[in-house]
Formats: sequence, structure tokens, C-alpha cells
Amino acid sequence: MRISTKGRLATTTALATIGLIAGMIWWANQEVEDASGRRRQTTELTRGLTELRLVTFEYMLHRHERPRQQEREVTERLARLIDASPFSGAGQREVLDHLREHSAAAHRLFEELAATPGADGANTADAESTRRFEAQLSSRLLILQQESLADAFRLTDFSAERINAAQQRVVIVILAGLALIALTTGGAAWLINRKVLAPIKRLEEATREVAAGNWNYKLDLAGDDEIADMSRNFDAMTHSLRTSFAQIERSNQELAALNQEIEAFSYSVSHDLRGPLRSMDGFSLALLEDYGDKLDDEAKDSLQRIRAASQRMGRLIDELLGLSRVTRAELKLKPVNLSEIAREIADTLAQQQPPRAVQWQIEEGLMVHADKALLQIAMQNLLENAWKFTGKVDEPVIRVGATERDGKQEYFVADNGVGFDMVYADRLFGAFQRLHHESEFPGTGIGLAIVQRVIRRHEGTIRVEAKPGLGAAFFFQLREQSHG
Amino acid sequence: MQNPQARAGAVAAITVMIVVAVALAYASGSGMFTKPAAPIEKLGIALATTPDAALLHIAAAKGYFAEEGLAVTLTLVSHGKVALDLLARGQADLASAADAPFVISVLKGERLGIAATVVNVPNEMAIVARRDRGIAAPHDLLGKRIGVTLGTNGEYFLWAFLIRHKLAPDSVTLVDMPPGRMAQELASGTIDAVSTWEPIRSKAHAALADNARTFTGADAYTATQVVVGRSEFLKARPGAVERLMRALLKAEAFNRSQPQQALEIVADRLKLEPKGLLESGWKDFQLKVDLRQSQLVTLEDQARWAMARGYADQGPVPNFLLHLHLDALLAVLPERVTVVH
Repeated sequence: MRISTKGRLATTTALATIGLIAGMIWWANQEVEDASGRRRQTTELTRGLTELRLVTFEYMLHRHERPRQQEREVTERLARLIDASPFSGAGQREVLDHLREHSAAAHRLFEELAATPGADGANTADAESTRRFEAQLSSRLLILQQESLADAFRLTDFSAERINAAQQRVVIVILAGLALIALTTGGAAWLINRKVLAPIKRLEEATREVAAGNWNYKLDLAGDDEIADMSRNFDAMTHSLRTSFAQIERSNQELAALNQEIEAFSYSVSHDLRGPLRSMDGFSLALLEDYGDKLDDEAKDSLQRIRAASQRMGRLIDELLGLSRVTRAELKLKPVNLSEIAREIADTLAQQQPPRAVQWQIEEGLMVHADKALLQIAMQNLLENAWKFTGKVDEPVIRVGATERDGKQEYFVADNGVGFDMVYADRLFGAFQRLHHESEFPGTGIGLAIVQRVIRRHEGTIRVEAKPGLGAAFFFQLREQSHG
Repeated sequence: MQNPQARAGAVAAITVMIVVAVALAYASGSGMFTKPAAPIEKLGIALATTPDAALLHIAAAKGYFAEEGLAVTLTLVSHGKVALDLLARGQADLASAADAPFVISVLKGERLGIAATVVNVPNEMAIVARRDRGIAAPHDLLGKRIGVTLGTNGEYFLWAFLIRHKLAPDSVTLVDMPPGRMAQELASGTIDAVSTWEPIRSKAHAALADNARTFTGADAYTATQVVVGRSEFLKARPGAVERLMRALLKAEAFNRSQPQQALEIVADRLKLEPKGLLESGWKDFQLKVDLRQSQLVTLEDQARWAMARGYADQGPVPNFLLHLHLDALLAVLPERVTVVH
């Protein structure tokens, strides 16, 4: 059964239980109120009978009209009370019938007594008869009224019994309701624990296991509720992740092997090419030196060109080897003072070309967590580029600093040199890509490729902003050091 | 306890236990658990073969005496006065009789007590008269010969009936005879009327057929049957008397719930046809175990009658409260005792 269905069922059961208990309490309360009403009426009846007894005695003592009139009134009131009585049980009806009969008989006897002339004026025999008659009537009246009172008390007892029974029912209903609620609560707690909380605990264990890297953990919960569905989905997810990771692992291994092969190939190619180049340059130089006097100018020029081309190719190979080393070198991360590196490179460049008056603005205290040797290579390339492309500016300025972008620290190397059109920006970091002719600004076109590779090895990013004639600025971020 | 589910379960279990404990305490307090049985007690009861002793007959027939741990020996007699004689001679522990002979016994010095009233019948007593003797109204009884069993409530009823109709009690001639002879004597014409109870009254009426004229007097006297014992006995054997009260109350409840079966039981034990018993006013028999304050008034009236009739010397009316044994009924069903005490 679904948890949602169970929830609805539990809610319905709880509401039905509460409704049932409320209904039973209402019913029992009605019983109490009904019984109380009956008791009030029997109290009225008892009061009427007591009053009747009082006025009967008063009449017997003084034979006045006033108590006789009161006796009639009370008798009529009693008759109305008896007729309006709500008692319906067989025993109660029997008592009411007695009351009705006794009340009528008592009134009849009272009227006979009132109609009997006194014995004073009669002869002795008649006087004795009358005296006995009156005595008998009085006794019968007493008996009837006493029995009526006893009957009224019986009705009071019936009412009290009914109230007691109703109160007992209220107690039983409340006890039964409490037991029902306790059982329902216990049952619900047991069910929730067994069907919901225990599976959720297993699910939580499973997520912990998977978070710890145990991709083979399997939940395998049986059932047809939401948690069982979730368990099946969880198992499917871990299965899918296992497959994906295996694929990624295989691809990584293949890529690493391929990279290694490419690196080895490019290294051997670069290294092996240097021999023939050195021969070409060496033999050209030997020709110039040994047979220079026998060669005309055109031949000499050709040999010079061969030498220049060989040397340029040698530099290209050196750059390629450098790029390869950047890729293969092992990272040794530690705190590195970027400002200090920039300052040292600037000093070196200034010494190489003392006539150039470049204004250096290097922010102090720039600290990064990086491989110092690789970072030096990257900064060397960036600062040499800036130095080179400000060569034709009247007041060259090169800045090194840091700024914040999207909440992350970003470092920059900026200049006010020739700049370039941002349309060509995506070509900028490719090997041997150049935006200016070599005759204008010499270079191999591999420097920025090396910079990008260094930054990537630090799991960072690099971007550029430039405008023709206004300069260029290179911004880079490095992966922030984990504090854990 | 760390686990909230376990804690919730424990709370629920404790609640259930409390509820069950309260329910058990409630049940035990309401008398749902019965007490162990007490030893059987023997009782000898003398009672009349009249419908007035119906509750005793029903209790015997339904085995209620045995259920209450009583081994009862019933001695059947013709009428209550004879039962009281057996009690006086020590041949019975208890007797069932009308109130009039009980009053005479008390006036004669018997130390008796009423344990309970077992019936009230407003119209049981009657005077059955011969029409052919010119008897059509109560005053026609003047100067007539009326058969009664002296010292019984038959005689007392005649007295009360005459007074009710303002007639002098000594204006008629009483002829003493046992109840069994009344119908025959009336039919033969040796007497003009009889004053008696059921089933003699019905037999007398049947014997005269159309010639019968029956007078009742609910306003004059309500026939009452009482269970009487010697005062010493009632005090000495309270347990036995209480069991007797319980058995009689069971018989009363049976009559209320199964009136037809109760009628058949009584008719069988009195050797009457159920139809005949019904015709004799069975429905007016209020079979009920009680002790009422109003009864004291009747007992005192009967005492005055008994002294006037010479069954005892003239003197003050006895204190009948001393002759009502309230303890047993108070112990069993106190609301049935309305005597001021």
C-alpha cells in the first residue's frame, strides 16, 4: 500500500475514532440531561404530594374552606404533572399508574370527608358510625398519600439510577476512547517505524555509503510504496553512475596514454630535428668560413639565409620542447609571491634594453598558491609580450595587479601597447598563432599557448581584453587553495 | 531513551496498561466479581394455598431458594391464620399470612416480626351475597347472616366494608366457618353472604352463578400478605432471612418479566386453571417485596378492630414498628423499605 494511501487511511481512522467518541459522549450527555430533567420533575411531584399532605392535615384539623380549595388545586397540578411525566419504562409507567390511581382515590376520599357532616348533632349510634367512618377515611387518606410519596421517591430513584448509568457510560466511553486512541497511536507508531522510518534510515545509510565512494552499495528494498520506488530509483541511479564512471575511467586512461604518446612523439621529433638543423647551420658556417673568398655575394646571402632559417627553426623547436615540458612537469604547489616574480622579470627586461623607459606598476604582496617554476614561465611570456608590444609607444606602461571578479581573485598583466581587435581573440592562445607580422614584432607565436597551458594545469582560467592602439590586458584566475 | 519511535511505543503501552488497570478497578468496584458461596441454610416456611403467597410459590418452583443457598421446607395450609398457628407451635421458622391474623397474634402476646410484605391487592377481598335474600346494595346486608373465618382478614374486611358504608358492624350476624366450607354453605342458603379472599371468593361466586352479588372495597381495605417470623429467630438468623429476601426478589423479577409463566406456575401449585386464576383478578395482585410506612397505619387500624372485636383486651395500640424486622430487606434492597426508621 502507498504511504499516501496509508496516510489518508490513518487520517480517516483517526477522524472517525474522534467522531465516534464525540458522538458517544454527546449521546451520554443527552442521557444525563434527560435524566436530570426527569429528576427535576419528580422533585416537583414530591413537592406537590408533600403540599397535599399538609393541606389535608390542615383540613382534618380545622375543616376550613381554604385548605379544601388548596387541596383541589394541588390535586389538579399533580394530575398535570403525572400526565406530562416523560417516564416510559414499564416499571416507571406502573408507578405512574399507581400515582394517578392513588391521587384520584385520595381526592375522592377527601371530598367524601368534606361532605360528611360532623358527628356532634347525631344520636349515639350514628355518632359512633360517623366517627369510625371518618377515622377510616383519614387512615385511608394517610395510607394513599404515604404510598404516593413512596412512589414519587421510587421515581426519584429511577432518575438517580438513570443519571448514574449515564455517568458510568460516559466513564466507559472515555476509557474505551482512550484505549482506542492508545492502540491506534501505538499501531501507527509501529507501522510508521516499520514501513517508513526504518527504510528511510537504510536510505540514509545508502546515501552515506555512496557519498563515501561505495558505488556498489545496493538498497534493494521490497514493497510497492513510495520508499520502495525511491529505493529502486536509487539502485538504478548508482548502477547508472557506476557505468558512467567506468566509461570515464576508460576514456581518461585512453586519453592519458594518447597524451603520453603525443608528448613522447613531439619530444622525440623536436629532439631528433635539432641534429640535422645543427648540421645545416654548422656546415653553412663552415662553407662561409672556409670558402667565403670563393663564393660570390649571392651564394653568401643564400648561406646566411640557410643559417637564419636553421636557427629560427631551432628556436621553434626549443619553444615546442618548452611547451611539452610545461605539460609534462609535475606540479609542486606552494605559496608564491607573484609580485616578486613580476619585479624580477621586469628588472631583467630593463637591463636587456636600457634605453627603453617603460613605467612599471607592479602591485605589492600578490600571493598565489601555485607551482613557482610554471608560474614564472607564464609571467615571463606575458611580461615579454607586454614589453614587446609597447615598443612603439611613447610612454609605455605595464601593470601587474589583482582585482575581484564574481567573488573570485583575478590577476592581470596589462599594457598600453598596440593592442588588437577582439574579433581575433579566440585565435590568440593557439600555438604558432600571431596577430602581427614577425617583421613588425618578432616572435614564434607560441608564448600565449604556453601561458594558457600553465593556467589550465592550475585548474584556472585566462581571458583577454584589448583594443587596437590602446593596449591589451590578460586576466587569469587560479584554483583557490582548499582550506580543508 | 534515544529512539523517539521506541519512546512513543512505550508511552502508548503505558497508556493502554493504565486504561486496562482503571477498567479492572472499575469493574471490581461495580461488583462484577462474585463472592464465594456460603454454606446452605435450612428454613421451614408455612404458607397458604392462596394466590397471596404467589412469590413464595414462584421462588420454590423456580429454584430461587436453592440458588440463594437455602434448603426450604414448605408446609402448605388452607389459610394464613393456620400458618401462624404452626409458627406459634414452633413447627415452622416462618409463616406467610395476612396482616389481620398477624395483628391478633401480636395482641395476644406473640413475639412476632414481619420480614417483608409480599403482595398488595386492593380488590381481592369481597363479600359475595345471595341476591335472592334481597341483597343488592351494601345496606341490604343489615341483619343478614354472613359467613367469615373468624380472626382472619375476611372478618376484618367485612368490618371495614360496613364502616366504609356507614353501617354499624354489629348490625350483621357473623357465622364462623373454615374457608373450604364457605361456597357450599352459601349455596345451600344457611348463610346470606360470605366475606372472604381468593380463590374462595371466586368459588362462592361460581356456586351462586347469577344469584351472586359481589361487593368489593378497595377504599376500605387493601389485602396484604406478610412473611412473619418469631422475633428471636429473625434476629438470630439474619443471613437466612436475607437470602430469603433475595430469592423473593428474584421471584418478583421473574413475575415482572415473564407474567404468563408466573401465572401458570401459581395456578399449577394452587391446583387451579390459569384461566380461573386470571378471572379471579390476578392482574390486580401487586407482587412486590417491601416494607411500607403506610402499612403501620393499617396494622394500627386492625389492632383497634381486634380489640373492639374482643380478640384482645382494650388498651393502647401496640407499637408495630417494633414488629417490623427491617434489617434483612435493608441489607438486600434498602430502597424497598419506606418505613420511617
